[in-house]
Amino acid sequence: MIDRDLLSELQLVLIEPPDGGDTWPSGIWTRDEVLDAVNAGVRALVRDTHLVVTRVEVPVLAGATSIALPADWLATAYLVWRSVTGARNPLGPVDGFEGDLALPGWETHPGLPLGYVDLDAATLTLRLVPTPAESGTLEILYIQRPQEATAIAPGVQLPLADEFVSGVKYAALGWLLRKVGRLLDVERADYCDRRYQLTQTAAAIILGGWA
Amino acid sequence: MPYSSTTLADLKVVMVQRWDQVVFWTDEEARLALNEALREWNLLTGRWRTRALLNVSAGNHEIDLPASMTYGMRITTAAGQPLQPTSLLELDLALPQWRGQTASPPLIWAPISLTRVAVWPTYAVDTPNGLVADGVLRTPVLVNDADTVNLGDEIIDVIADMALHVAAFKEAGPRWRATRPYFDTFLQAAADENGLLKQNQAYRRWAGLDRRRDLQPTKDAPNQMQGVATQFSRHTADAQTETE
Repeated sequence: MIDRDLLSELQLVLIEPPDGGDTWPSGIWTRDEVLDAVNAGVRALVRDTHLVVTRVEVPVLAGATSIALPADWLATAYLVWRSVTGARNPLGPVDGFEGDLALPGWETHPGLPLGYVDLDAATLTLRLVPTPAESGTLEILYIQRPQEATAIAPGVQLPLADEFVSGVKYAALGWLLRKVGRLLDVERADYCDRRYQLTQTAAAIILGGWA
Repeated sequence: MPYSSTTLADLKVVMVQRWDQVVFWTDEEARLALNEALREWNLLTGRWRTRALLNVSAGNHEIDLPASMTYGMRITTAAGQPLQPTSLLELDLALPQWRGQTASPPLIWAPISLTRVAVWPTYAVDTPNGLVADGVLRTPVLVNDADTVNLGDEIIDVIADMALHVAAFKEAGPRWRATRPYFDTFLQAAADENGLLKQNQAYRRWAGLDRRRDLQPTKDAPNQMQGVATQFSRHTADAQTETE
């Protein structure tokens, strides 16, 4: 679906004249505000559900204590450590505190990486737990920051399959209807949250292998 | 052969028939609402399916699905042997070294994302058309009144009701609330059509069907002492009210 089509749909729902999201004559919301709501909905859905993942391989030197993540990183999906011999080890998400409890001295006593820490250090960097004793390669499956909707004519394709667009629509509507203003509508905003969660749940089931 | 008996125009008429007053939606709104209902139906039931052959390159455990497929539902070998579905997490926990292991034929598959799957073990040599994927097609979009809906009559009513509920959202208040049961019916019909959905714990939690945890809480469970304490606090409140 094109971003302008979604904005027109939002305009119809919010009783504004549909014109691809260009004008919002009621004055309750601005164009930028609605675009922010749509983009936040897309980001939330791709981050919460891992609908689309991107793969990248990063070479890591022995003893590296900080590894740069891609600039468009939004969230980590899966990390695998591949040694020079080709042996692979899946890495689990941990934090520094867990590392300290499980492997005291994990920063200064290198070994075979067992986990990764992507939120404890500087932004867009991660650390391996323990620090790698040998060089290797990180196979990273990550969630890429999605292309933003701009609603500039003729519009761009939303970075999601059409089946998941309802999740974005209702995430945006929930945000807009919860604005403290003349059209504050908690009941419908709560309903919108449930509709977003339905899309999220369906995605979790599909990507969980229906198990 | 696809169903072709119901057109977009027919569905719009069905929507109008369900409303005993001047309708509050335009033709375009009805079309959009119907398309939303169809999208949700396909998301929850995977109604429109397609099949594609997959090429597997030597030693590669990740395979891209064709662009025409929204997501994969089932993978089999070319000989028709089904692969068991699982998830990456389960593979990592059960077989940490599964990536890159080769043998023939593959036994397990797991979705990585909507458009990419992993298989274990993978083929040791390039295998064109080595696997067959059954997946869900993109939802058909109705544009013109003459466009037909590829669905059986038994579902048409559910779709029209859901579309009415979607269209009524802008009305808010009692008018929209009156259509809420249509949404519940839609979900029920989707769960009936897709048994996997009904069984899935995540869906049951979302739909409020898993009551066991609520009925047998492990934390803050009500007990007799709490009942007595509640009575005392009520008496205190009553006494205060009387004093005032």
